[in-house]
Amino acid sequence: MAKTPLQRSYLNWDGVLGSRAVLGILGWVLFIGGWWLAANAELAPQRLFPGPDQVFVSLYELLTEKSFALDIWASVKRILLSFLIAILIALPLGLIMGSYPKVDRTLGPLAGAFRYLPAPAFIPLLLMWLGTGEEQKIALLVIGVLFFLIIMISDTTRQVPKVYTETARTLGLNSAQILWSVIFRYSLPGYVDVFRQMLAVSWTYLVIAEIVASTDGIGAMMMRAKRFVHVDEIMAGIFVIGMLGLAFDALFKALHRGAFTYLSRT
Amino acid sequence: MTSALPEYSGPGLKVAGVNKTYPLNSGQHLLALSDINFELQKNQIGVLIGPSGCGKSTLLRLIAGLESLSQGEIQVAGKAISGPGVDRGMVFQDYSSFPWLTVEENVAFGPVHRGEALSLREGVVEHFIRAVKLAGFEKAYPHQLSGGMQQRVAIARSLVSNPGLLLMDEPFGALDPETRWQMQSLLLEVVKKERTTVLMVSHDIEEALYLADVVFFMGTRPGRILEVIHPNFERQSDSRDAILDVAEYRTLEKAIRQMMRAQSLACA
Repeated sequence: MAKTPLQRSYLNWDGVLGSRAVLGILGWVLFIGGWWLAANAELAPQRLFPGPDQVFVSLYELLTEKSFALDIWASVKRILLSFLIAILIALPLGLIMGSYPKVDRTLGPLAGAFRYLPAPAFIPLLLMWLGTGEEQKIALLVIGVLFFLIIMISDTTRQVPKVYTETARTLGLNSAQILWSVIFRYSLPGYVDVFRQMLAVSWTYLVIAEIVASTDGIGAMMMRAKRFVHVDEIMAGIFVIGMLGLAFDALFKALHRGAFTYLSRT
Repeated sequence: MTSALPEYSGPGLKVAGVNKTYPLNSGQHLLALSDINFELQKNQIGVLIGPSGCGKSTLLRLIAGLESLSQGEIQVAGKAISGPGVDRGMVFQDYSSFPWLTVEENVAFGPVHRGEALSLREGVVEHFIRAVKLAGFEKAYPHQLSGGMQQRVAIARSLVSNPGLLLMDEPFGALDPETRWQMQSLLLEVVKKERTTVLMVSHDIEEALYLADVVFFMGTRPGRILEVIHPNFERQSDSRDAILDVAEYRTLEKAIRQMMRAQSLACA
């Protein structure tokens, strides 16, 4: 008796998953099909608006003949290094701000205000301070996500139910232990989610960082392509950035699922 | 450790002249608890009962050391408290099992973080998991447990630190009636066996009379103790319903219900 509703919900869930994948693919097919049609309708010169087939061919050529893989690797390195630096600054700050209201009242308004300063506005400053090298690009990428990260991490930290910290206090834990073993540990899945969302923002700043005095990276390749009106290569660059963003998103989701099994309802 | 000292023979808990005030925005102070005085003997179960807003949870939190006194003194086993301490365990109404830890790890949480590896080796954790009837669930995570089981984890986690006083803030308030009954019997069994002094906040008269050696009835505005009742009828942990037929139980239940109503009316 009790098995019937269980089985039914299980089957339904399966069905939803199946149709969700099908619908997701359908969206892509419609998009690429529409793009192909638009490109072949010759509304604009092929040179300025190439179809998906041309873009994929030039992506293949970029990878095989123009060492595009090195550019991609340069960009991925920048993203990962800058994001790691941003996390190393934002995590301790956000954890302390979320745990101690007085610190939050002191630093919160500051970080909140900085969040509204557009990162590209810092470029002239960074060029003067750091020159045109790698540091300048990394710094821009760090600034782009740092203040959002601080605010979101402190928000996540504040969500820890009081009952956990108070239980820990009555069990004789000191403040440092509560901060690490309860507040940080409880918030960890939330932090990973914040990282996933903010890494997407990091990718959106990549091209801006690589437009300025850059010789390698996906953004640099796109600027080179612009000089020679290789719209297909620019589009290939956009496509690769999108794919990499999706891949990292999936990676974080898998990490979340794998590391925090205790959150899943059985 | 303390075997060299003569055993303490005074009350398990003594609350003397306790006031609690909260500052208001107007610059005045709100008197939440007024001149609270009571004692709870060792190995007894005390229940704080009263209408909502009478400050019974606040009083419990003061004893736990989670909030500071405005005036007066609280002694646990003869020693004045300041802040939370391992001599007092606390079980909240909200489920408090750490979701990332198994039942076993939850129960061992206190000793592990206090660096008391010894008590773990002696099988204390296993002992208390068995005592609250969670044997077989050692490796389960809280989300796999029912509400009643989660509260049993919380009780075992408190008792494993061997607190002289176990504080409970409406621990079974979120459970369905049937589970609540089972939990009350289990609690009675465990704390009598472990010789733990218990102070519980409840708004359930039946629960109070079933569990309590002494009931402290509190009134509102300001929060204060109006009546101390010593129900002294037989009760068995194995037949929860038996007390419903006891004449004295029915008399007391009615009396407390009337006091509750009078207090609620005075507030309204």
